[in-house]
Amino acid sequence: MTPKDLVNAFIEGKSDEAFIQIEKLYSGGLSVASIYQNYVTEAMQLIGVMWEEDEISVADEHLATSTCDFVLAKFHSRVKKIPITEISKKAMFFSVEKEQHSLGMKMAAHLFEQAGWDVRFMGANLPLTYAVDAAERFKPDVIGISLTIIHHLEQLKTYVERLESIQSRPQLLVGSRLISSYELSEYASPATRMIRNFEVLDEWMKEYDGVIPHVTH
Amino acid sequence: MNKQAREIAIEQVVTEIYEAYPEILERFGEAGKARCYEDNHHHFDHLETAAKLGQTEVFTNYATWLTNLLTARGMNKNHVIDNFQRIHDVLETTTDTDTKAFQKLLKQGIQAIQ
Repeated sequence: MTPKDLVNAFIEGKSDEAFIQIEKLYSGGLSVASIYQNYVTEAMQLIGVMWEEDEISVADEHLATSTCDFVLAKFHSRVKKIPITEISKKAMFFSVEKEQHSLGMKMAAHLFEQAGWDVRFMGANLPLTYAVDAAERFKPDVIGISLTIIHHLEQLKTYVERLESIQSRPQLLVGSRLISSYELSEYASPATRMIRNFEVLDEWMKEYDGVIPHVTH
Repeated sequence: MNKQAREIAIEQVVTEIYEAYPEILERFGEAGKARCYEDNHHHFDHLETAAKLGQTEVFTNYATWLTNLLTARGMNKNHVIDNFQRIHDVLETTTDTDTKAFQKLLKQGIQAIQ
């Protein structure tokens, strides 16, 4: 199976077919991070290119996105997870204000949940004041921020600085397709980790597990 | 660039485009004209972001992406170049502090497309 097969299932809205394809990859032993990166993300990027080249319409692209979203949720519900306990680490995810893209961040949140983290996924377009309020109540160890559109980059620094200063002193992660094209580090802080893909995220999670003791809140 | 200066510049650019190419009104109607205003706002959004971040690629990548998008839909890249050039020339008459940076970016954008 290739990402192109997944592309066809997504743009035709065939969620059962797409699910079976992903399921086969998973039962064949491929890691979830690799499936997310090399199949799902790759397929959605190919769909973006097809729209740019006028091979599919905006409606096709929307159908593909909603099909992908549904299939990801179904697949995530099927993946074995480490159960959450009182000492589970906590992570919250959202994208910055006005940013409407959320599929990538959803996959990141799923990876954390599968690894036994207590996760709050707050979706797209979350204004900073609400993000801070939610973080102060939830006390996460990690906050993942997603950013897709370059116009939203300027506000990243404010988000990072404000959220790094909350009481639980969370580790900030920034996930963005822009990382491969632009130098984003000056819009974050030295402690912020830039995550360019799910395999990097997977590695980071293993690394984090190795060095940070579990914290009780 | 302040909102009013941007609106004035875009109004002038769109008016000039429709004067120079009256056939596009016949071909695409008023909806096409509304789209032209919208597209010019996107051009300015990218100029502003590129200037603020000090990253030329923000605008040149956009210029290349937009050109690919439009040529795939049967338009000629010269339309984009013409549009950028008109913004460049209209900005000549404004005194906004961003003018020079925007003009430089527009030239780089045109170069990236050619």
